[in-house]
Amino acid sequence: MRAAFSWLDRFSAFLNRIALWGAVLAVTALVVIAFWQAAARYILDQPPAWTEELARYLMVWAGLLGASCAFRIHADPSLFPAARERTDKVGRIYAAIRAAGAFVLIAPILWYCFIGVNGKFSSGYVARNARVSAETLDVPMSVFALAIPVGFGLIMIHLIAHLATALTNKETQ
Amino acid sequence: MMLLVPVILVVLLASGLGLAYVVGGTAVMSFIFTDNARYLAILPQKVFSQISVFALLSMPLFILAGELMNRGGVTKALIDVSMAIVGRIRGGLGHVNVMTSVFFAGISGSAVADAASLSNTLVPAMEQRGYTRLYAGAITAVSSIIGPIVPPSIVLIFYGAIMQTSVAALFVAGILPGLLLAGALFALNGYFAWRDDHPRIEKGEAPPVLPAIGRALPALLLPIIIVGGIVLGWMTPTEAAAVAVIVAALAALFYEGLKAEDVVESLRRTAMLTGSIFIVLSAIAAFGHLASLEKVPQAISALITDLGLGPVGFMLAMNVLFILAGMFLDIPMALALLVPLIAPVALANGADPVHLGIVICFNLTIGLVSPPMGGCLLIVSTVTGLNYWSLARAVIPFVIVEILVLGVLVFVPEISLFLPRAFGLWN
Amino acid sequence: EVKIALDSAKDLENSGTYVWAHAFSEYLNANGMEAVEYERGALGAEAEKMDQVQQGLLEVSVSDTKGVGALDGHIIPLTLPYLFPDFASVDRGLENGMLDKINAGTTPQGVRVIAVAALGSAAGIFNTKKPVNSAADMADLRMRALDENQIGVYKLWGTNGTIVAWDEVPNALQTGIADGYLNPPMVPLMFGHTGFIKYFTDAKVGLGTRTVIVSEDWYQGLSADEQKIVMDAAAAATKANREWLATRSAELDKLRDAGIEVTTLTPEAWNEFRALSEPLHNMVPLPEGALDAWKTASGM
Ligand code: NA
Ligand code: NA
Repeated sequence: MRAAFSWLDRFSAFLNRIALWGAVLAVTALVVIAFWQAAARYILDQPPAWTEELARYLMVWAGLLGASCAFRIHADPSLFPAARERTDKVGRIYAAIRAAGAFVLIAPILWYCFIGVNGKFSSGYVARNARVSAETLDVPMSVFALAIPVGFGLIMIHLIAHLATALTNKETQ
Repeated sequence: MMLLVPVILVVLLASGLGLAYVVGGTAVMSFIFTDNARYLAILPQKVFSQISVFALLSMPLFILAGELMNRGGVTKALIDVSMAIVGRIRGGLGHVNVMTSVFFAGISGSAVADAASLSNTLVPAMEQRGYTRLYAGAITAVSSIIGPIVPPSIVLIFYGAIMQTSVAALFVAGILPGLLLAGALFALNGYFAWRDDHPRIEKGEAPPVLPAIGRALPALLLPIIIVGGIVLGWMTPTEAAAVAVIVAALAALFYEGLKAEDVVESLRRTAMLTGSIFIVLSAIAAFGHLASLEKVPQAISALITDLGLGPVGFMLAMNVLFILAGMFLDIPMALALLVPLIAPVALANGADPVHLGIVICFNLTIGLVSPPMGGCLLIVSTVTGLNYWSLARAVIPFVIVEILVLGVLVFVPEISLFLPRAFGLWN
Repeated sequence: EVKIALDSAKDLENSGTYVWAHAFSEYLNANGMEAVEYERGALGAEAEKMDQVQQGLLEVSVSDTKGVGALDGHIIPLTLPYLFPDFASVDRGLENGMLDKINAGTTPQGVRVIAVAALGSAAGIFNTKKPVNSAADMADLRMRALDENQIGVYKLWGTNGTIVAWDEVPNALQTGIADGYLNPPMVPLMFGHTGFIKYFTDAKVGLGTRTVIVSEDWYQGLSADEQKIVMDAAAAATKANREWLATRSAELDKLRDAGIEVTTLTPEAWNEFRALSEPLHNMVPLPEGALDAWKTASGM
């Protein structure tokens, strides 16, 4: 059991490293595009139309990947951060409550990304966006909408890993 | 069933869960308890729409510009120039602390970055020269809140996005209130310097003025580029933010240089901070949708109208509410939660959206230096090792002055509105 | 309960789309279907309203015509400049088969179009710099563009467009990043831009429309009687909207009262704008034959 849990934590850490690099790339691209928009107004006769839309969607990717990384390292502001440090019995109860609270938010988001109100995959959020093209870019909106299930999916994995780690702490002590 | 919601909220808070997840989880439970569970299907699109907003684009960019400056030795150049200008007055280093924060404010949009940076550098220097560490920490904390008031400001970008108010006008409106706050802090530091006989910097110690200004020029140029670029119409606030990132990187190269890992770390922190704020936005939006379905905003504005407070009474009540919110909540959380409910009522009472923005943001930043959730107090006490609660006591006189300045800003809207009108950014 | 998501303030005098929505909800309420109006933005922005309609979580939405066009391009010609001379031709086209063509594309995606509401008088050219009497007068103006189509229009007129998001438009106009925009006459009054917009040219560029959509899941779940009530309500609302439009001759006077100089084009100048713009009709990507279908159906 403990081996499985420790594997889970390593898996979560591994995904987190990838997400962090993804976020770094997205922020970098965001800077380049926003800067290009300012420059193109003066350099080009007709500034490109796609910069604004692409910058906004890169921000979505950067932000959601970043949110998952912040969740993994407990960087989100909390009213009682000390509760996360406790490793005693109360600490384990707290960990379970934290996992439950985040789960309640994330589960419906993930569910409805893939399944519509009518229960069909083809009516889910991602599928709906696959049928619509972005305004100025010649790609389906699902390319950007996918940031939602990826970001929240990562948070879900991290929260399970956090819980598993907190519960195994008991065995190690 | 809805009676369970406050209980769930308290339990989740106590567990140490991030505030955004507490609010989001509670919102989802509320959908279920009010028999609106099927509306949870709006969540993916709601999250996407809340965070793909054009007006928010400048936020990660200004965060990144601040991060790069912080890591590139810019703070030291700013301290030097402040020393050269005000260091020789009695209580010199206290003044230097305030003035550095003013310069820092012109570059960074965040108070926490200022507090962290100066606790590391100026507090030890002040202690060496005979200030108590407590006083040094206190003035570092209270002057850091100039950061989000003087442009650029993440808080004002956020308010502008929620209220669909011109960020350019808000930025320019923040200049005079920020300087007024700095003036008040100078005065109070001067008083303490006289009462407690604080030292000044010896003649040989202060760097010569002109070379110090020369060295600080790249850092001082940035606020001019940002505000000037927006006012003169070279670029939109979003584009100014992108230019700020590039200039910040160049300025850092001019000082200590940036290592590749500094840049990567800055990008990481930017993404994480942006992400934390996005989760807050998403969670609040979920609650907001439920409130709309249940027509809660209408009920609240009817309730406020029924109270019959009158314009002055309403303003006072609103300020008390926001100060309390600032004490307990993260600023983005307080803004996203309260502004959509309160601002329409304030506007109906004749408030100006830009003036209202400055007042609300000033108000919430005071919460950064007051317990229990004083973000800047927390940073200063962490970095300096000062006891959180002694620090909280030591800042009391300063916080009182800040509340007085807030009062002046509330009742003299011209201080906020004069510059944006003069530059034709606001009617 | 039938939820109706509004797109504008509840202003029966100045907002044509609210005239539509209000007549619609009154008719439903009078005929035993409870309808509730939700303030602009209360149920989210355009993309969110569309999303909720598709899922059957929102029954009726007054929506962006371009947003509906993303589901089916047959509606896009409504957004083109100098195509429809008036709403009568739009209504003829919709009746003679175009509404069915559009719905053939949107209903499989959960959206049914029931009406096209008029925003107000035809769009014209606003700017901060000078009176515009001809296309040549615009050569040195940099116009705010909403999208690539508008950039294309400006190019055909011999001037430059620059894309600026609506949120940044006031700032862009005041600081000279842009000098003007294309919009229906009431827009600067409704958004408080009269402090810096100084000139309006009544170029009658195109029709300002909103498209009213209902959730297909919801509609199919109604009884035949209820479906009839909904369609009758839409017809009554469209009638009210078109009658309101006929009373809008005073819009230009309101602009003058707000200190905006109004220029009326000579027929020659108007024809020049029209002739310059027409190539755009074939440049915008549309479903095969959509433009000809509209022309036939509306008798243009
Ligand atoms: Na600032
Ligand atoms: Na300071």
